[in-house]
Amino acid sequence: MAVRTLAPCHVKPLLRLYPRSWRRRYGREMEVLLEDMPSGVGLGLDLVLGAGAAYAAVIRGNRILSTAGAYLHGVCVAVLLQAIGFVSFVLVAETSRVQGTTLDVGPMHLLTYARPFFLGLRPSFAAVALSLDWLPAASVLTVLVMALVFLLAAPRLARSTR
Amino acid sequence: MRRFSAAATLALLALLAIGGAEAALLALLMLFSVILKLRLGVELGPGAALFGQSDGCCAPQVTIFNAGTDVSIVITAGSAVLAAVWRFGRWRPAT
Repeated sequence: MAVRTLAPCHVKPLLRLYPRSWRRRYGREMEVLLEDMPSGVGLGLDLVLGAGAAYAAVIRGNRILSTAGAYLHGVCVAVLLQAIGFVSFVLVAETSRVQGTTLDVGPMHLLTYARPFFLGLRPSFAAVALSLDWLPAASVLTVLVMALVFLLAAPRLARSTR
Repeated sequence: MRRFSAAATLALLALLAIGGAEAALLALLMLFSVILKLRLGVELGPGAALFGQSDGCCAPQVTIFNAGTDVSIVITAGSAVLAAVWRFGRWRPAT
């Protein structure tokens, strides 16, 4: 099986992905290095990842950019936490036997879950437990928690790839 | 003047980020309502919007009230500001 390779002239444009300050300092040196290296898809991927790491280093080195990055990170964490809260609420409401579940903070109603009303019949505990209606919600919740763990670990991972 | 316009731009970008995050959250909730076969109702001021299958008479309904939206905006903005203040205070130049 032949592995596709990229000629140096195909890999070189990827250097444009790097921050300007980085290119000014190491650009020429890197171009010479790329001409001597056996190029391939792996090298292209390496360059793209390196560009991401270089941008992360530039952002970390500037106080305002670093603060803006932390602001956006906080926004993403908050959105994921709220999504987790929503799915957890649905999961709790689906596994309970009551007709409707409401989430209140003091006098404020935030969220409500209402089951369709069938002649006043309540599902039995066994019917709720055996129905497996909770399975999709539990799966979504697992994916969201994994995404949150990844998001929280991402800054540390980015620092360690320096 | 330059400082003022920079601060105004920063504030607008921060608000835009919160708006984008709330829109993304709503999109996520709509996706979850499709996956979990729910009807999603969202109160918008005096009106309300209902998302979900039109023939879903038997599907459970989740309704987000105005207070829920307000609390969501406060949580998102609070978390973002907290993270930014924390980073601004702890930032040290790389050695």
